[in-house]
Amino acid sequence: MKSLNTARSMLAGPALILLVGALVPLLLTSGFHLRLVTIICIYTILCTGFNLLYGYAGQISMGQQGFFALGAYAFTLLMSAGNWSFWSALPAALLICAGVALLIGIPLLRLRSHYLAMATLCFGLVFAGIASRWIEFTGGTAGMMVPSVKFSGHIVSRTELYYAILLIMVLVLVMQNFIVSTHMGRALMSLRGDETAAQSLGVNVTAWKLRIFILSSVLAGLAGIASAVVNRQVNPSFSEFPILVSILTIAVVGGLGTRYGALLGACVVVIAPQGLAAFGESETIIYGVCLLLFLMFMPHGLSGLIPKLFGRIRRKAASPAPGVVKAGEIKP
Amino acid sequence: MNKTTNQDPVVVRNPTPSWRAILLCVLASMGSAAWAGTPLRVCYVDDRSGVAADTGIQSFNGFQIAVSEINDAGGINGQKVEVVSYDGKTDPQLTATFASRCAEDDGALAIVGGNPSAPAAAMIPVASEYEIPYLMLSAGTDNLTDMPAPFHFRVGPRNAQDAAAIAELIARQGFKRVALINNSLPFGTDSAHATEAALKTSGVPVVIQQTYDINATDLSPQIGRLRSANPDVIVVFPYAADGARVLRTLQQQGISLPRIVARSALLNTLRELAGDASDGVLVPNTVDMQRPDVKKFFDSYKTRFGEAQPTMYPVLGYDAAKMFLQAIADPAVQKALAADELADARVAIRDALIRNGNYQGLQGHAGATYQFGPDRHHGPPDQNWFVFVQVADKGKHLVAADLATFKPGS
Repeated sequence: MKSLNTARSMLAGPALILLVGALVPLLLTSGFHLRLVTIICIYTILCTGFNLLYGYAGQISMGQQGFFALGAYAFTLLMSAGNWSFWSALPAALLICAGVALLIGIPLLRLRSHYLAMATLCFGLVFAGIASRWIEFTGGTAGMMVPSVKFSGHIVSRTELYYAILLIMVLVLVMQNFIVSTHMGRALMSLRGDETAAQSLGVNVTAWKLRIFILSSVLAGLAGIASAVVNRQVNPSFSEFPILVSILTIAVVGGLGTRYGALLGACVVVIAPQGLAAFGESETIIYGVCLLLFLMFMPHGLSGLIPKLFGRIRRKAASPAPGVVKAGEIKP
Repeated sequence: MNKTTNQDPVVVRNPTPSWRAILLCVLASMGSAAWAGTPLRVCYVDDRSGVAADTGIQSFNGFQIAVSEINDAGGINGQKVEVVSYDGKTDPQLTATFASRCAEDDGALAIVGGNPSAPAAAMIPVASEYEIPYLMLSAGTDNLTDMPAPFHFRVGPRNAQDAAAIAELIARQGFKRVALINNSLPFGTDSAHATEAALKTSGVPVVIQQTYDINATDLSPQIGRLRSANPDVIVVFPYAADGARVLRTLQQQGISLPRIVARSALLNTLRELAGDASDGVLVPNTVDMQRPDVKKFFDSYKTRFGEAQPTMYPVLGYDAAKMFLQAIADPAVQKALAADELADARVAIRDALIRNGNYQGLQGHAGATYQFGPDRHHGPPDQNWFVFVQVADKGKHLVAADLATFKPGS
């Protein structure tokens, strides 16, 4: 019974998201709207990795945008300069992300809190510098064009691309739910609580920190590849601050350490600038004020709000109407 | 749909809050781009609140003047031109998303904008994918318009052209010992390397080249090394705030050598921060205030938006709009518009831009024209384009450069 409940909690949400996501192209008539939904999926993949790393394991990384760009550049270079096929370039690019994460993770993960944040931030900055200045290899600030994805002569359309990215996002969410629902999730959460206590309980702290760092880096690389394919271009901005700011905003708005916070936050971060464009010059101020309000009144983000609302509705439904006497209750 | 008609004749359509349509998928299904029957629509996407906001705002103002002129004259074949504008905030991802919104939802005939290079580059794949003409402005990265460039064009000069103009001036004025100092961003390093190469071709040696971090607050070590190299002219490739720091440090160390600062000194921010330390600095520009048509444009700008120094940024927006409006009036475009064929109209505009490639705008010396062609989507030519201006009145004004006194030892 317990395993059935666990399986339901792991799969129900992603299945619903897949169902709704599959219907979206049928409801939208504009390619621009489809692009927005695709970007939501990409940010969800990126921020699910960040959520596992920081939200569940408590390891703050400010270098996720570096892996986002690394994945995109590695994939593009292998495809265009190396003439690799899509199916070879994709896993190879992810392996490169994993390898770099392993290399920098071993020394960096000895650090904690803001020291770790600063060290990982440096990785992002170094990558941005390389991408901008190694012009012969990366194309400099102009970046590189990403070739269209083709399978046996057929160029993948925007809708097909969306379905592929949606499926990847759902699989990533299932994987996250699996990790969180099992002993792995408990090990990660013990790291967040107290590393010494976790070690005394038999958790291999170093190994778990490294594993989750590599996983989140690979997910960032995967999101970077998806972004490169959708934008048909990769440039140094992939590793710059706007991406990091988006990751942090999604974390604040969606809620850290929650299963669907990344998706909810990504919806807001991608859609809000489009809606707020109508406010012209006041747009940035309104956006900033809204974020401030989120921090003040919804510290657990949208994910924290939903259970509260459900709880309130449930309590309201459970509480008896005035004048109604429950069975066995004596009215004075 | 929010539609705001200003008192001026430019119709600025505020974008619809279509995010609601995403949230409510059913509503979104009704949000198809209905281009037919609407005014001639053009999108302006640029940075108007980020680090390059000065350039984006000034170019947009110039753009609006051109659109007002045509609408005041009755539009094109009786159809008014409508502008949809978006602020990309120097964020390439957001800028690309707005560009795709222009192409799909707004049904624009063309996209104009792109002063910083990264957001400008992000719009190129969108222009190619949707086959919509895109006129980028001052984005200077050299290879942005390298072929193939199916639908995008550049109106402003590229960095290598600035570098060549600076090198030519240095050689012409008789300088023999050049010091280069640049920030560590791509604009700074690329421009310094290009200038060094151009100076080498002209036979003028670079005695020292220094790079500093854009956020460095103390530039005394780099300036000290410049002084030790005993140059006769200093060339600076900065962004706005760090450029002011370089000029102030030069002043504090009592270095009063002739100085040339890259086009970033056209921005008010740099000159305001530098104050009197910027006086006498020479800046490459593409606006010749001796031309009556240029004077007239800046008078019109002053009347509508307040005083602006004669820089390339308002002119870039104006010239881009004029070229686009001329292309719309082309018979092939009109035919496609009459047939309600948006895709054909966009292709016809692209072709018309190439056909009218020798357009004479407000940039460059009198008589100089753009040089667009089937194999060249970069407009500014290498000759007769740059005009040097000099900073005066504690950084407040840009005046015609006094080249007679800009000599070694002056």
